[in-house]
Amino acid sequence: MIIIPYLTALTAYFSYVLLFVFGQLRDFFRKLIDWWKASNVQGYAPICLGLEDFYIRRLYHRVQDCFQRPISSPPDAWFDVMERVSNDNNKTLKRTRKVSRCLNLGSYNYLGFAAPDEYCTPRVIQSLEKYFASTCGSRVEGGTTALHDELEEVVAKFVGKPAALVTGMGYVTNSAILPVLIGKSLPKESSHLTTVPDIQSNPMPLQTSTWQSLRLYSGLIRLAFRQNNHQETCYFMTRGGLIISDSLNHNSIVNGARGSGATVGVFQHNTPCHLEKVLREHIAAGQPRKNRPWKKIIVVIEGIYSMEGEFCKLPEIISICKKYKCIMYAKAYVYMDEAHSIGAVGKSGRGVCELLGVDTADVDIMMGTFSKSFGSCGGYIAGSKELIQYLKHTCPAHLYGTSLSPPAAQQIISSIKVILGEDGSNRGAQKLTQIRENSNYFRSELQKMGFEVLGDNDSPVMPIMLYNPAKIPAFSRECLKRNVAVVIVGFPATPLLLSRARICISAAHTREDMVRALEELIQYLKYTSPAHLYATSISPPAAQQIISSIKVILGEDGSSRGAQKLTQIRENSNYFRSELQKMGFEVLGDNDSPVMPIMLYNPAKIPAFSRECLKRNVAVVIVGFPATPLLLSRARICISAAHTREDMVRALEVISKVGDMVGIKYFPAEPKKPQLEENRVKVE
Amino acid sequence: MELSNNIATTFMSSMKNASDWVTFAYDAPFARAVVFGVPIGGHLFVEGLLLVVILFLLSQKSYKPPKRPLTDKEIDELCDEWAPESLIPPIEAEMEKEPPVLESAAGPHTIIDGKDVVNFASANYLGLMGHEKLLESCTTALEKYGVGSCGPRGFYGTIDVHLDCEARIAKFLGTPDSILYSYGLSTMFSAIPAFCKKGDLVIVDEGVHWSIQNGLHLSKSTIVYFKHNNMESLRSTLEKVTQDNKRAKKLRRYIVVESVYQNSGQIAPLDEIIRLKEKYRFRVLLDESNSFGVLGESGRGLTEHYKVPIEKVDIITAAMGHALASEGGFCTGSNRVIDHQRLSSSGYVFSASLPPYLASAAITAIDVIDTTPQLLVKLRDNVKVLCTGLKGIQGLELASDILSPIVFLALKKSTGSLKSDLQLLEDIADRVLKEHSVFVVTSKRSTLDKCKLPVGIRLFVSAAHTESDLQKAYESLKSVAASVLTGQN
Repeated sequence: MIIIPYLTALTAYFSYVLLFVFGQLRDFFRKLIDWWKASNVQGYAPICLGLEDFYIRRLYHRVQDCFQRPISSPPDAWFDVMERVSNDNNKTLKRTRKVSRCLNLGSYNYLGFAAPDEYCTPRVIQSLEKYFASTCGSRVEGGTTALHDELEEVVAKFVGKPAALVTGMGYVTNSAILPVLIGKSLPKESSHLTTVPDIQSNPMPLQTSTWQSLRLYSGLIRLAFRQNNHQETCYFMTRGGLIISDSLNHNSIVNGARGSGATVGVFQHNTPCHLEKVLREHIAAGQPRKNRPWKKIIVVIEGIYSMEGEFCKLPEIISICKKYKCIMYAKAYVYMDEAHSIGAVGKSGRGVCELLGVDTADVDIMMGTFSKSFGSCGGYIAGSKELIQYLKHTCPAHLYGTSLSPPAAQQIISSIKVILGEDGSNRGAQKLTQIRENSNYFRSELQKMGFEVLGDNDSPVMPIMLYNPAKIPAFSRECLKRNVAVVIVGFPATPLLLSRARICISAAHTREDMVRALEELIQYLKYTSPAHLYATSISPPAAQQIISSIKVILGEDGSSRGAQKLTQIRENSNYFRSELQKMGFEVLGDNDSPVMPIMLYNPAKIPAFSRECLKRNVAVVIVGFPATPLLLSRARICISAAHTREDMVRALEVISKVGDMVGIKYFPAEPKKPQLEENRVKVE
Repeated sequence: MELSNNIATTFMSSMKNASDWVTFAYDAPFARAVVFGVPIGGHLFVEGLLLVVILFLLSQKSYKPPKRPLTDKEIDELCDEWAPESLIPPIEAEMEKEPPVLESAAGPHTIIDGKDVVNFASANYLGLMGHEKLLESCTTALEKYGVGSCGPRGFYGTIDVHLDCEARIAKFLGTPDSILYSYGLSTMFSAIPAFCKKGDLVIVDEGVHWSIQNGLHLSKSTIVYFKHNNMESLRSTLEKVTQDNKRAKKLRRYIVVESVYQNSGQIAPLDEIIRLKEKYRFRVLLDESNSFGVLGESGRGLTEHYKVPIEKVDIITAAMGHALASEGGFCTGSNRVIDHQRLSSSGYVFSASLPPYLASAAITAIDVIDTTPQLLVKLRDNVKVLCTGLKGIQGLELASDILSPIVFLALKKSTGSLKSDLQLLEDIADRVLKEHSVFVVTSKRSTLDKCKLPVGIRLFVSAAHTESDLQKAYESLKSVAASVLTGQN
């Protein structure tokens, strides 16, 4: 769950409102000019109505240079980004010949197979010569070569399923297979030609631009609040199937679900308990209108959520699915849904199932793509032998789509061999270790720097939250200036407020690359932080003090004073805290922390505590409303390594006395237990 | 009598009581009041009474059957009782059939089961498969860029060859801009929902292939089908739609057609469509998958074939997996049309981009088409030879256009069901492959396909087929059809 700071949300909304108002103004003037010129073809409704492309024209064009940056080299750890210029305020961009060598933190090149590879590339070229670049036919129309059969075997073995089906594109895999599994199958026997349906019977919905804009606004609002943006219910088409989908599933799944015409239920992103709730509700309610029980329910999740960097909670979800007899459909390997996760995570690269210790037999249908970790293209679906056989007979992607290009198929076979170490080297294992180490190092460093990073450890996808629309292009441009290419993601792909930068770590990155990237990010912080831009710089003696004290702490002054100080403060803090607690004060905070708030609550007690302590020569800080909530006023004690044991004993004595006076020992040290028990006995 | 008297008396007395009461009310001091010069008389009293009644009614709860939500226990029971169907229906015998596996490239001749066969199953129309120049450009690209692009176009998946390819296609066709998709099948079903939204009106041929059907379904537009390649039906549909519905003028309206129908081999009469489109103010979406690089003097497709200026067709899509012997697809049109897709088309935005070597193959293929127009002439001649040769084939008839590179043979007499028709045609195809080493395929239908056109045997003619290949094809087909279909009848 992402919690947006209140101020940030406010400024972000303000920015969008500003952009919107200016966009509308510009549209208004454009309309005037268009009307003046009367250039539009008469009689046609405009190809983009009303606000449909407002976002593109007035918002996206401002930041267009941050997307679709062309490159002129393979998307390896370092690549050449081509510079572009614009003469019309970013509306169109022209390529120039100039390139800048940038560190690539954007491509899904998790295992570094994007660049030509010593093992894969010669084999790919061999298969190109043997089978050519394309088969010019679908799989059933002369598009099945021996290579495709081999690939399907290799993939099935790799993901741990009895059989697999390979398609030419990952996106199509989802959007064509979900409808086959759950959609309405048409009666095959009616071979008569249909007549033109009476147009009168087709209700023509009211279609004015006002309605459209209203719809768009409501869509924007819905997206902004990250609600289930693909909950669709087609009551008339459903064949009794139900798809339960994670709220943040990839667009291809959303399209597949929509195309199937089945009822779609959505559960909160990666929340197994909500999944259970949704399942129970749906099973209890049955099919809409008919109230019959569902014929089948498919739960669709992703292995790694590409925009969040999170692993799915597979074990929990599987146990729920088993309980309710649902069918699991996990997009498992190369785009990080097993699209993103296959190849990238797990001890031998077999994806989230391996990483989270889940038996692949529990996942009924596994889907993944080859365009990420394997550096190729296409997608697969793996499942039981019967399932694959059925799909081979019915799936439109198999029957109509051009089959996977043979060199691409060869690339997948070879890269899987490298991953499994079947090429005779340990490069695959090295790559897998490398990507895990790289990811964890980079993530922890980012977090240390103070970025808000989403996602789990071991996941090579790291979204950094930006929130504010102005920061989106700024982050991208400034990083590019420093030769680091990052991906930024804004509104249509994420909810309006939750724009982010996404970093994809690759096994091809070296430690130096990453240190460099981190330095650039620090540079970015320097660039954007107002404190850095506007405030007077730190005074030199103060700077010297910091340097010297850090040296002492690290023991670089040649003594062990730093270490001593650290021990002292820990001991002091723990001693003081435990004593306070024994005395019956309500002390907040954790052990080892040198800051101890003592709760006072009552406004009258605030000055009393401070004054009485001062009278006894102990100085404490008291804090009340607005710094704390109205009711939670407190005294705060900060322990130092310079305090000696005697100091502390004295302070404790004083505080204890004053505490008694003021009446703030809310938890008396020795509750009169025997009495309490006696009372209880009496009651009974 | 007494009783009725009694009733009358009671009634009268109660009436008197009431009238007294009313008089009293009328006489009440406030009833004589004059508000703004209007004596209100008894109004106030009557209206006050009404108000009381209304308030009384409002205070009553409307009757609703008491809602009793299911208890947890009941839900548990329901969940326990629920028994799902199996994921897939039982496997039928016909599903166990595997398509032939090719052991070499799918050129005009290929190897199946170690045997050299003539290949009429691949849409390698210009015979560019195995072309030296294409091989060379692929190899160079593979060595330079590797295989995949590892990212969608938006996120560093745009490689310079993609932009070059887009520019080359636009230049070849004479359009302002074009956009590359990573898969032919996804081109249409991404491009259509980008332009047609709920409420828009789409007039579409009933024979369009699945990718268009899926795109229309995803767009949620109002879809009206017209009879396959029947211009009279299109005209009457357009007439009906525009006449009956005044609001239709404010909607976006499209006609969606294929130039060479994959499901029948028919060619759409574009000149007539353009005439109708301009009359009724519709936009045209044309799928050129099987005509790009095939029709027209120089292979520029249907627009060139009918000498229609390309600007008249608003949106053109095509797959590159056919004549160009590459993979992927493209859409071309005005700048506005293309730019809009770059952020609104799901298959473009959310999918990894085309592998660079395939883009570079496409560029080279277009160069080859530009420099060797003889290929087009050879293809046309080959189609003619095959069509002439197939004349008089028993039990089958030629359903495709004489110029179409897809030669489509449908059953003269359908057996009545799609399944048995297909079975029959499969038999022919199998025997042609086994006995005569000619690889032809039937048009398969997915369970999702709404197309109701008859199935048939499809032959993809290539410019690389020799005279003897073609002869072998029609002779073997004729002999097998004769034996299979006579036996049947």
